[in-house]
Amino acid sequence: MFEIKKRLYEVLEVSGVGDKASRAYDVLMTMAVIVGLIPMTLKADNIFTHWIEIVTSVIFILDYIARVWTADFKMGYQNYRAYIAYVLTPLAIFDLLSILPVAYLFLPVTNRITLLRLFRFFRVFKLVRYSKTMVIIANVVRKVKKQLFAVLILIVIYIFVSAMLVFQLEPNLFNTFFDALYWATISITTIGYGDISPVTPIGRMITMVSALVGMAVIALPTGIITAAYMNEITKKKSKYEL
Amino acid sequence: MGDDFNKGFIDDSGVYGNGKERQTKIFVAVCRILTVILAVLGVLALIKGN
Repeated sequence: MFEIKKRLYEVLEVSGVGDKASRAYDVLMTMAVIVGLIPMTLKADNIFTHWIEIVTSVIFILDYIARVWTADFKMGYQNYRAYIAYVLTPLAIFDLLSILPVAYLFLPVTNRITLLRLFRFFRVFKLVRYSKTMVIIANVVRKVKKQLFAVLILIVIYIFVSAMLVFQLEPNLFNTFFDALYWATISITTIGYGDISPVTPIGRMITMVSALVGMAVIALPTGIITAAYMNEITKKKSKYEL
Repeated sequence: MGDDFNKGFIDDSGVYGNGKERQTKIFVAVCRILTVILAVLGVLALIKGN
């Protein structure tokens, strides 16, 4: 049983050189993820999307069960805690969320929850396992998560401050504070739909400052991720050169 | 060595075979068939849905 479990773990993980079974499994999973997303690109379901849902859901359920069963190999320690630790990892949570839409097939038409279908979106995260570049990006984001969180806090504070200022100075323009938040977000990201625009000189002044500072604040996460990514690539290159 | 030999088999042509190799071949074949089925279903869904 130990041998079977070990072999299954090897197959589930990204294929090594010459491992045909693992390679075939990787290709199947990648195809299942891509095809499983097709129903989300269509306005209405048809008989083929129904079958896609059944086939991909069965594959994903079996994949999830196999991954949980081999969690002790993945986590590196032979203990029941390995299973609990694995189930709580982000990728395992995404795996579980991505198989939830299968319930949609068994619910009566009147009780169908449309939101459940949107959980198919989580299947995209399954692709992270099968691309080396995606794995690097995921590792990079994990390494700089503290900096990214700090920038996120800064952005949220900046949006709230801009929204509060403009909400007080342009009372006729915004019906609710949510409108002001929407305006601040659209301005700070330099999207600028123009559906809500300030009319008073002070409101326009705030918009100008908001747009200028917004560009700098929004560019921060890009800079952090790019720097960390380049650092990771350089490390990998020097590792191979050594 | 003896245990490994017992797990294998000799077919009618006299070639020494291994059960694990056969299982791997079956697994690979099942994976490839499912991949093709999914690809066909995907294409058909796109054609019918658009």
